[in-house]
Amino acid sequence: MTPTAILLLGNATPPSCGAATLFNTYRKLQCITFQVDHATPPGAQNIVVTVNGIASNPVPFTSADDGDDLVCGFRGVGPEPLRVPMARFKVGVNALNSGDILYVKDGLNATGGIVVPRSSHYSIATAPLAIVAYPGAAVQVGDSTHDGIGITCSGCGYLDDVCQAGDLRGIPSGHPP
Amino acid sequence: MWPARGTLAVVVTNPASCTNAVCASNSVNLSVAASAAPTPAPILSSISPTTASAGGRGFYSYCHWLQLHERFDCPGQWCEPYDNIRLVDAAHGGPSGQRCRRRGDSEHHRIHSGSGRRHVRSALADRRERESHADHHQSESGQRDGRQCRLHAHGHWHRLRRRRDRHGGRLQARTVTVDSATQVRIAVQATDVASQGTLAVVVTNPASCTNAVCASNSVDLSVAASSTSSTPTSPVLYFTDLASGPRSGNGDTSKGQIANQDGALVTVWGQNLGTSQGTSTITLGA
Repeated sequence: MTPTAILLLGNATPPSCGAATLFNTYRKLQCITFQVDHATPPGAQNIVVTVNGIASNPVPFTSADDGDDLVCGFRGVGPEPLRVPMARFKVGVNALNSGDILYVKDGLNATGGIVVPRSSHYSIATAPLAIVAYPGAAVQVGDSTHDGIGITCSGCGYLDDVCQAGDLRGIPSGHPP
Repeated sequence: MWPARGTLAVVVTNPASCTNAVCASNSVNLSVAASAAPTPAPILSSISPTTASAGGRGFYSYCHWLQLHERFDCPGQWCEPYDNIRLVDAAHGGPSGQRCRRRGDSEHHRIHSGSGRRHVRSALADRRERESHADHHQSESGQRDGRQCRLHAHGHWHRLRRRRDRHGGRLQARTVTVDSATQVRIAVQATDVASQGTLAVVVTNPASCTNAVCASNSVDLSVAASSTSSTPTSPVLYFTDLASGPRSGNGDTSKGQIANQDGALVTVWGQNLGTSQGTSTITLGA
């Protein structure tokens, strides 16, 4: 199944392909970012790259029916919308449920760290949670004196929500709050 | 003393047969012509390719020379495609019936392997040497105008292998093909380019010498360090950021997607993944 879109194909340098510079003197890694198509059969699948008719080794990936892709970031693009944050890091984290993936866009930094709330992991998880920097985004979580991600939950009340979870779930980043 | 050129008056004298004290015969002239100008040794003008990668496979190297040898001056015949012209037997001759190459000409190629500097020597056959060392024999065949042609080389290659050049290197035999009047093709073997260095290519035609110098000037074939041979040529995937993810529910439309229709954004890392989406495709599942 061909992905819906290939967002990126290039050398593995930050921020496009993560924080690490994996295309350097010693390594020549590249990366490809793609979106899973809705017609992909559920269950265990393989990712294969074919270049000039030569196929790569397969890398396993499980396509799931449950779970959501949440996008946490500023709305739209341009000078004006960027001044109005649509969401904060913690809002996205609060909205996570089993199998969800939270993509964090540029400008959302949590230098004080984040804590995954009880609601996200209180019950038995059926699929992993993931917090991923949006392809090409530079996001900082924690700093030299703060842990990046904690899973100790003493309640969700202390999270500084500025918008409702519903604003995040299933709503594109360009949608107005 | 023989003059370099001119006329000699030849008179025969017989003291036992004289008439009136005249014992000399009449005179006849003997013309002394200038000797034929020696055929100059080949002069190499270029080599292609000029660089090879160490550790690579064998390949053909093309040497071009400026001076033509009289045996190769059959215009047009050597410019035909390789399969048709590689070897021509004297018995068949060229299409015009003229004699182009004599049996055994121009198929020898020797390599001097010196200390730190190897010499590839393409020797056009020395017929006298072949005849004197006719203990080995090699033949090759090719097609010309649909006729089977055969080229014989009475070899001294084994003898050459046991000899040493002035650098102490061992002589080796290599195949050479005369492609045209100004080009020979040398079959460089993998062992010749196994390590970095310089191959000095010299074409020797014993039938074309000037003052006993039969070898041409040398042209260099550089054997450079091989590129990162450990780099795989096939695409290789190493890891991905997500092991699983939903196939729908992504509200992102920043790349033109339909909101909530498709799923997770996945990144894979690897090597040799191509330079553009036109040559690279990625699939998930069947």
